[in-house]
Amino acid sequence: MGRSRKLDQEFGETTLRILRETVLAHATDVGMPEGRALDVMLAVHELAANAVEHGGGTGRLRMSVTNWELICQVSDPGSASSGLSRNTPGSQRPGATAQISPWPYEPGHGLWLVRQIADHISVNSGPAGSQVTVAFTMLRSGIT
Amino acid sequence: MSLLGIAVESQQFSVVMRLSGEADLSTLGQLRDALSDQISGGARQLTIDLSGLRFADSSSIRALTDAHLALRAQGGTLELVDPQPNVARILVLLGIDQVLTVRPQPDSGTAGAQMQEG
Repeated sequence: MGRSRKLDQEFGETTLRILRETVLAHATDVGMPEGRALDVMLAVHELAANAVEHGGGTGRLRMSVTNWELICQVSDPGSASSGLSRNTPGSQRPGATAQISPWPYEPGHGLWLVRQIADHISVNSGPAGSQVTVAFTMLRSGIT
Repeated sequence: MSLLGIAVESQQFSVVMRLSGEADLSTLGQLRDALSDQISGGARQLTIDLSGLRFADSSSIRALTDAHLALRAQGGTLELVDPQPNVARILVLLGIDQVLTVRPQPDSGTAGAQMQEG
């Protein structure tokens, strides 16, 4: 009767907050230290926000645990602008002023941020949408 | 009901905007509107008090940096004050602390109207 170590949840723009709370609770529950659990929440949020913004408005999160990793897969059903995986460095929002852009990331694209916090990231995209999978290493605690 | 609270205190060209709650994609339009209202309304010294903000995502931070650029183009300034650890971390990760003033505490007292020279 152990706790389920898997999570499967759909989300949209208005449920991002619930998603964040769920992810934080789940990451903590499976043994992530507090600071790292916040990182997991931030990474998943950024991927989910990208899915909402560019991938058709909704998406799905699946989380699972291996012996040493917490794995989070965010998928979107896809849209014309290729959703989650859209990460073209040269892209511009309409109306954005190109000459003043000293920021090291693209507007609204949290993928840059996610790359910094996750231990591993893989991106797949195709006509059926995009999936981004991030993994966070879990240090084994002294459970005997 | 919005996740994000925005309270504004103005004194001439100096404006303190206090954010509370959570800022994410669902509140992005609200945040951008509030910032552009202040800038188009004549604010030149904009202080964003982050002490009540529990979460901010990259799109919300981008709204703040865009406001900074818009203000700077008009000779104004934007400062971020007193972020909670969670928000401070994303500011550091995004390198915002390198290009914007981020102060740990607000100035003593309330926002003084510091007139710009000239």
